[in-house]
Amino acid sequence: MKHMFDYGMMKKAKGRFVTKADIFLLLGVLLFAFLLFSFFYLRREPGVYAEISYDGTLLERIVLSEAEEKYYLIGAANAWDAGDISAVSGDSKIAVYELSKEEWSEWSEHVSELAEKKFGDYNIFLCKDGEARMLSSNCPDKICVHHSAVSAVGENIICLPHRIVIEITGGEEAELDGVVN
Amino acid sequence: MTGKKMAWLGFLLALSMILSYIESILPFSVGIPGIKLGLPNLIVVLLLYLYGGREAFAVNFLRILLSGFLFGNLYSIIYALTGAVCSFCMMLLIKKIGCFSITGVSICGGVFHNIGQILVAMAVVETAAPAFYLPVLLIAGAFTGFLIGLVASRMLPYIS
Repeated sequence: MKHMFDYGMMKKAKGRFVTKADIFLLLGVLLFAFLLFSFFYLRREPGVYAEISYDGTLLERIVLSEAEEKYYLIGAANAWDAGDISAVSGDSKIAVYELSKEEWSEWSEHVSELAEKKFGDYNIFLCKDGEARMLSSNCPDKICVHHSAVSAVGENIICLPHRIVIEITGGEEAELDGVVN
Repeated sequence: MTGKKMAWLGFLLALSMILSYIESILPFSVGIPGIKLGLPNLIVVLLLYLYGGREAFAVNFLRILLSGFLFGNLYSIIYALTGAVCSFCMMLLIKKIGCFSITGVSICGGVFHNIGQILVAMAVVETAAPAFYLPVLLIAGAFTGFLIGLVASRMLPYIS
């Protein structure tokens, strides 16, 4: 180990290990991030709605503040003829369905095969105690499933492979959600 | 291209693929998407200093393609490539400025990899929602880039 910290060896290095500019760069990025951080997160308000969008178009706005557990599935439109379809929005290829608790617990054992057969690409999420959590998805990376539950305005769960966004929004500030056209 | 250089590039490509693999099996999930160590970037910054932009880009491109097909899928390849291109261009730029060492170049790479991925995510879902992760990912990118850069700066004298 001694030779690793040999001074002569170190002097041979063309550049220095860390320059002043490096430290300024690091501190600059951190300062900028903390400014953004306080701007984004300090005014945390509990959300009122969970907005589900696909490809940038809003599919459904679900009221969050209910105490009861509600299970929802996002999948191919017109895939489920049963009466408990909560919404099929317009001519979108993707729709949001409401599952009963019985359906969820019945499905959860082999939910992937069942849901995949019926809905193709699917995401199942749970709204409970004012927060939304992704429970299951057949996307390749499962980042949305590992995401922590979201409850404050602005927080979101994104499933990039399925181009699905679940975003928490507040009551009055619905216009400030920044939908890019 | 001399045989010696080709052997070195092949060796470093293999090494960066191993680092990709190690990163893919590390349980580094903290509930926030996009935070990772960026171990393969160690090889990219070293190559930038050892050989130059073309070699570093070629090895990085092949690394993403090969490890993507081995441990990932087509979707993750496209996603990783855009982040890599974004961070690579900025690293080249900041290396040209001259007052930054390999550590600063690595910080820049980490930060802009994350910025690139947020931009891709915004383009894919067509909303501004991914920008919500910008502050956290800036901090994470700066820190991991700094650590990788420190390691790279200490390795460089021994392999050049």
